[in-house]
Amino acid sequence: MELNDINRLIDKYFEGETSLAEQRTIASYLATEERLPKEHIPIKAMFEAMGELKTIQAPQPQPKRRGISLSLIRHIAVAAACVVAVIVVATRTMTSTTLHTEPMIICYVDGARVDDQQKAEDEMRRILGNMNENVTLAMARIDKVNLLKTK
Amino acid sequence: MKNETQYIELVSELRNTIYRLVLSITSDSAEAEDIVQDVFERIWLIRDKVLNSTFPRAYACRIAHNLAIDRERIKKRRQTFSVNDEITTNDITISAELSDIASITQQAIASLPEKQRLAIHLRDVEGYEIEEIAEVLGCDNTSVRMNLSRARSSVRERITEVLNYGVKRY
Repeated sequence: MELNDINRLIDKYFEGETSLAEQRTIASYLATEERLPKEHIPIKAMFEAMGELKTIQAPQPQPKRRGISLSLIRHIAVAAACVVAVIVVATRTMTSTTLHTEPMIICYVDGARVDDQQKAEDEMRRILGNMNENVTLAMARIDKVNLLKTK
Repeated sequence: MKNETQYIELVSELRNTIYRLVLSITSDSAEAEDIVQDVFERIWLIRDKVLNSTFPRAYACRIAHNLAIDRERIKKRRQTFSVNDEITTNDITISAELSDIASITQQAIASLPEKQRLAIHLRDVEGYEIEEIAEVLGCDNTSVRMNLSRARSSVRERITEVLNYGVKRY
């Protein structure tokens, strides 16, 4: 091919007007011509590069992972953390509420309400202790009576 | 049944094309693979429309292009708001196995405006007809040629720079 003809084709290429067949002609000239004019060297590089880009192949398809996506896992983790936080706060609030507003032991001493837990426990032990002593004495008397009856 | 066979043929024919097209936009092969799968899932859902269109492969390319662009926009938005993550740029080599000049050409194409990038990729890499490219770009044949002209001139300029002055970063 004459240099003038190839130059005309190359100009046409850069005007966006070449057909695919004409582009193949240009490519063939650039690939085979041993003494290229200096201005054709970048064009040769360009055509070679395009050819090389065409060789890129898609990797073999992998089965798409069907499952929970990462963003969904993130959302679930945040929601779970919120639920745990609510439970912890509610439990502590309830526990704290129970300790401070609902006394475990209430008693009345001489008609007066005793809310102080330590005082209430002490009073309870005292009463139970008295009861125990009285029951022991009563049991001892019963035994004594029974012993006298058998004699 | 017939549609399924045609769909499978289309996938086989276009798999590499779609991958290369998406890769030219995302510059990330793992992401490109992912997008390719999404593209073919989408095509499956509207396979009747795609297969009965005038240019089925152009239609498929359009879907691929739009999906890839959307993903890139989302990625860029995330990078903007990220405080600790390193922001990656497009000046790294996209495909390590390509020669230097092919990598530079790939980067030069990637840096073109959207329509020019699509036009030169589909014409000079994939060998599509002007009418098909017009279908993908959503414009007429004259606009395709104009975009081709500008794209080719830009790429040649970049390659000339590199050959004359060595590799430069964008």
